[in-house]
Amino acid sequence: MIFRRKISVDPELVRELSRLLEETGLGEIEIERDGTRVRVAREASVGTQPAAGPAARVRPAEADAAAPVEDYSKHPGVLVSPMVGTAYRATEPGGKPLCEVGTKVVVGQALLVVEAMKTMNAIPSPRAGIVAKILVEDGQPVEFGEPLLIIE
Amino acid sequence: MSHPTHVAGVPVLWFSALASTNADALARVGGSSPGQLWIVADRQNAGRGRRGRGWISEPGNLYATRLMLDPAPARAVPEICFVAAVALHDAVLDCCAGLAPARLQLKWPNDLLLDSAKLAGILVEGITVPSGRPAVAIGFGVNCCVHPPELEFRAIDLLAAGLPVGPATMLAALGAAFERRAAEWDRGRNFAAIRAAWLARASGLGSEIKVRLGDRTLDGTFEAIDGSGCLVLRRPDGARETIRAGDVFPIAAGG
Repeated sequence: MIFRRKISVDPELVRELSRLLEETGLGEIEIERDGTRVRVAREASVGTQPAAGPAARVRPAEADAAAPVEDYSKHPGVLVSPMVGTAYRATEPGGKPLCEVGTKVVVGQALLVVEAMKTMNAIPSPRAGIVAKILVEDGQPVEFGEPLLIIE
Repeated sequence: MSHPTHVAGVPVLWFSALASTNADALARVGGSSPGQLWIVADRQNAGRGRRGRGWISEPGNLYATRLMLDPAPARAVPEICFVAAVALHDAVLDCCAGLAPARLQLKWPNDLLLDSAKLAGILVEGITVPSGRPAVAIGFGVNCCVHPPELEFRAIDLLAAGLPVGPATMLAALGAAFERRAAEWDRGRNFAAIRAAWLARASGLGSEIKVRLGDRTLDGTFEAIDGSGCLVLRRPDGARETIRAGDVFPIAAGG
């Protein structure tokens, strides 16, 4: 898998989209270029607070466009990645996922695989519980300490 | 030929057949087996490659897994695939007198090539034991006297190249080389030395390669590996991409 060291934001592009937003009166504009998706949207209070202006958000194209970015790293049930790599839901492509939301898990049960180089690392559950949220897609690059899933 | 009980001080369990030496090694973690162990099989019935691919395991080749309990902190564990690759390169040179070192190269991250054909592969699989420490199974498949027919990458064996080396001899050399390189690596404190050794043996450094990722293929120049072992690819548009996992193919000159 691949990642760019940094997602660079083109300020000109954001300004241009903001102008377009003003001119057209649209609520939001989203474009995708070179794997980066840029969405420029007005605040919900559009019209009553002209000073607020458009808000810009930039994120990788793989991210779910609608999901709010929540920080799960401090969640008490979080399982974080022990290494930089690529997360897989199953041990082989097209295989049955090791867990789903709602799966009852025991301590030590493998829930995901993180591949780094050609090292396949089974990621075990640190506790017994139910998988409440899965925060990574199959094949998604993950960083050291990145939240992978929530067990409650 | 009788099988060794130890190589370089590490116990060896040698079987006539196993499903997979890696699977067997990982199943022993937490049991009464020592945490440092070689598992060897004359034949594997379900040998494993990357992402669930099979590994053809005819008798006569070496199929061996080095089990390491708590080899390093978890974040340094992926570096082991380079430790293993450099050790394997050392081992093949050690037991093939007269083999010019330049004929033997490493393909990112850890395939061993002889005259640009695949001679050996390595698959590292890690688990975490209940105490929270990692354990890894480092599986080596070395083509001593047979190799699979042409798949998407040409393969070769030592015998076909005029270098007759049996699995027991190869294991002795590999065991010694592995302990040396693991000591040099020092639980990740000295990955710089392993990285330098790997780069000195790298295939295709500075040349055009194709990297196949899950669902797409990227072309570019193979510039280096970074401080954590990721492949650094310079794209035709000048952008640098850092690749953590994928299959590398050379782009033949003129092709």
